[in-house]
Amino acid sequence: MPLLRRLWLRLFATVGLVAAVMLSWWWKVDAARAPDLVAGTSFGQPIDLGRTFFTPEALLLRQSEPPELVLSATIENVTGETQRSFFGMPANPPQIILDGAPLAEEPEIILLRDNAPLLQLQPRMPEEIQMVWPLPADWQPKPVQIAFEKQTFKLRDNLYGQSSWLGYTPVAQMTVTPEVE
Amino acid sequence: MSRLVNLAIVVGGAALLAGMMLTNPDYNSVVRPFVTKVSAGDTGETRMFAGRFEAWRTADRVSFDSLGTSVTRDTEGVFLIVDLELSGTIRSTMVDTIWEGASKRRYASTKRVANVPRQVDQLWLQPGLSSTTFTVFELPPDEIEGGAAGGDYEL
Repeated sequence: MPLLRRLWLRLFATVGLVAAVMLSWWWKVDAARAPDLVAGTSFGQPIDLGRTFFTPEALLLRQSEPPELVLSATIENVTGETQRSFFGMPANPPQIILDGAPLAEEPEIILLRDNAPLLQLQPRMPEEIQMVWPLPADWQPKPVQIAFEKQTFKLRDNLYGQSSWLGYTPVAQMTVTPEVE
Repeated sequence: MSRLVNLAIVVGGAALLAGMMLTNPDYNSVVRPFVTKVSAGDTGETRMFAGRFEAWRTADRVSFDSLGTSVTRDTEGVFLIVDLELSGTIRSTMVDTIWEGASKRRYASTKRVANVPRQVDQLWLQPGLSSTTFTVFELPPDEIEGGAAGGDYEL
């Protein structure tokens, strides 16, 4: 009887181990089979960035010294309180990608109504903004990729059970050639 | 018999733990501030400051002098200007004001109107001295009716 019991336990453990190995192997296969494709988007379509809905309107190349890339957009705060960090904390604004390399500079965010930096977004008050990135001096217009990431909200996080804004996931991307202003 | 007792202990323990887990207050309600509510015109006193809602008015456009230049701000919604009388209670403090709208959304006072003398974000409240001040909110018009002004101790 003890022999049967021991055999049974070992069999049970072996089956569990094999199941775990097979499952992780299948997850790897599944991930390789369907690569994560980020949905494309276009001007005029609102994108959910978590705290805000962001609607890109136009991309312009401003030929100043240095040249600047200007993304016009409408942004609306969809949370229940005034936001000072509209692109999350730490800030994760739409990312400009030139020739496969992300632009390192942080954009300046201008509230068009005041022609001044955007400081706050009030709930239910969409605002027109411009995001301005400085470019290298000799930059010529060519297709630019813009990547958008959404911040995840959790009402009760796993650490304290408090409501938290957590990591980012890619939600949309678009490739456009800027119009020369 | 002993098996039954063991089972009872396990079930009882599980029920106790589940009860504790379900009734445990979440972090947000544990660390929230002590709130004192008063009706308009009455003086509300909290641990750090006291305040009274004096009057309110709305405007589509606000003009003010900021650092020597004249600035005009307009809005898609309305500006709500609230007059307050505030004083400190136990030590000098500053106060952040919010408007809790009819939809329970919390509107912070707007930073688009800034550097105006007597505005609440410029004001140090001193214990025993009452100061008349004002604060400006920018919000959709339908958030005013049924809303409430609030203050948050800052420093």
